[in-house]
Amino acid sequence: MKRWKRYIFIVIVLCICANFYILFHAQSKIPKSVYVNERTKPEKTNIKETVHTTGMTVPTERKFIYYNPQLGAIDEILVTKGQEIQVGTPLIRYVDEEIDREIHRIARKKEQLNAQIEQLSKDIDDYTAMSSSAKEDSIEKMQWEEKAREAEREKTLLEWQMKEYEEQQHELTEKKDELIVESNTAGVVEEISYDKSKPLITIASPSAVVRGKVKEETIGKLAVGQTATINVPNEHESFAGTIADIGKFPIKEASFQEKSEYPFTVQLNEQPKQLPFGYHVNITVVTKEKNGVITVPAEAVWHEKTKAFVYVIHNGKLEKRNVILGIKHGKKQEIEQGLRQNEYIVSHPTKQMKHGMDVIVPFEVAKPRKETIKQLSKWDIVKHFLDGFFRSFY
Amino acid sequence: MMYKSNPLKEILHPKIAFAQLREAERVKNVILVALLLLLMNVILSLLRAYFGIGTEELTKHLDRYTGEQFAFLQLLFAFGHALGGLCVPLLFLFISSIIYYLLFDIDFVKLLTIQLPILLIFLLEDLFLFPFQLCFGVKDLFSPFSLGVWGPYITKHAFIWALLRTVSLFSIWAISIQIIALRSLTEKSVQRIAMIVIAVYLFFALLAAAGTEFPFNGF
Repeated sequence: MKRWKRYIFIVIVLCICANFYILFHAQSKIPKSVYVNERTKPEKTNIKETVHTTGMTVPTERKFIYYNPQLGAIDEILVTKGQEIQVGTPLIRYVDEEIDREIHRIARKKEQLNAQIEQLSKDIDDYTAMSSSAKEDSIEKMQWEEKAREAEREKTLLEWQMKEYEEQQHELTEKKDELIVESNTAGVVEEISYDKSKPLITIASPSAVVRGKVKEETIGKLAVGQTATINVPNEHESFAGTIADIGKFPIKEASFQEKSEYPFTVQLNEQPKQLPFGYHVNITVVTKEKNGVITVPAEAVWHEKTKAFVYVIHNGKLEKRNVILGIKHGKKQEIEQGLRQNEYIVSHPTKQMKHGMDVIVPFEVAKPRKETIKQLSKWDIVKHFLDGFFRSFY
Repeated sequence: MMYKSNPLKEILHPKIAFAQLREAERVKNVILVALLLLLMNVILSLLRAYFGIGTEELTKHLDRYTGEQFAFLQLLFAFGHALGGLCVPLLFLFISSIIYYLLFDIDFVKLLTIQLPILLIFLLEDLFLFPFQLCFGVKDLFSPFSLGVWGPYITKHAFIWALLRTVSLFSIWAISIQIIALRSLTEKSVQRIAMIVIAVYLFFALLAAAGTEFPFNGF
């Protein structure tokens, strides 16, 4: 009796195993339903494609002042790092020893001449005194007067010479003034370097632009004139701008091992206040923008090799539909071709889903309005009620 | 002696339970247990309707209705399903009891009592099937515990599939319990009782198959 039971048990287990195999093997003929938890209809919206990257604020322009050997040796640098300067602020003073020597020589000469002129003035005074004390119409008086006139002439000559020296001195001083280099732009002294390969003084302009970097895969999407939004991390502030320039050479030297990154510049529409140079920011560039296009949740799209698909619920069955994708932004995906606006699609496709499966959807708890019920025919109401009734025959 | 209806005991130890039933003068709890089983059946029906199991026909018209209309029709389906969940077991309970009452001379209450474990078995079948339906999309008609899965490999007639579906592990279990019970109560030969029980079951199977194939297609 017991053995008989065991055989029955084995037969039952084998039967059930066979049933499961028939039901679930890959080429099973048994039609199956699939539970579609969430369905959605495509939306007609505006969509934009963006590229996210990082960057930092840099000065709009940089002026470089180089050492000019023709002007001689540097005597003094007249500005300090970080100093704000205006047009005309002296920057560097050069020194020319020859001019200095000449000025020195002229000064000595002038001193000498001064002494001589003073001496002559004294002599003239003496001669005049002598002549006035001498008798009228005497030879002595005439001699003194003659001497005084001679001294006067000599003095005039020396005074001319003096004037000449003064002019020379003036010229030389002017020449010396030319040895002071003045700034022709306003800005901030960014750097002072004594390294011969670098500019002596770097002047940064006070306005800022944003310098961003972009990976080589995405560089092709960027174009001059595209709008960009700059976000300061941890702050709600954001600035609008446009791409002004895209670099043709990578930031670092190109190498075979690493992927290159390229620089680009965003011109800001409004200057950010209190944002120092070199501040790191997030950049969002709008690379494409389309209005009134059909979009679906990105999750609803799945890929098979190079093609993209969505599951459309058509006549209660799953339809595997090949679609042509447009641009993607966040959780939205544009469908260029293959989908109409009023078709239901599966929001979250699973591997279990296959073309042609019957679809079942969960019950939606909603209080129906009277108008809704009135729109339905009586047969619709009876039919689905009876459908529910007869479905319980098992 | 009094016998308390206990379908669980009856399906696990049928010989002992039905021997006690035979000796009993009064049977208690029949209505209570019957109501409990019916209630569970209704709850299960509502649960299935909530997850949309069996609503393939309704989903075909998804595009035809607005979201609100569709929700209302789902509600109607759920009501119909719950009513079916109440009526179908009730019909089975009374019709089969009446048939046996006419064929054998047994107390009607005792006949009702022996139908209750059958209801429990069918409830168990539904419970077992529920996760397969929800997670793997198995349809009612193709229960892995029945011959229904063989249907599409044998014939194209959906009616035959529905008939094959009625031959399941649980239905065999139910038939054997019924044979044991009736044999215990009537003490007639196994062959005769088996014939009658199978015939009655076949009648219900045909009814169920006809119900399943209720002609909706094309409307």
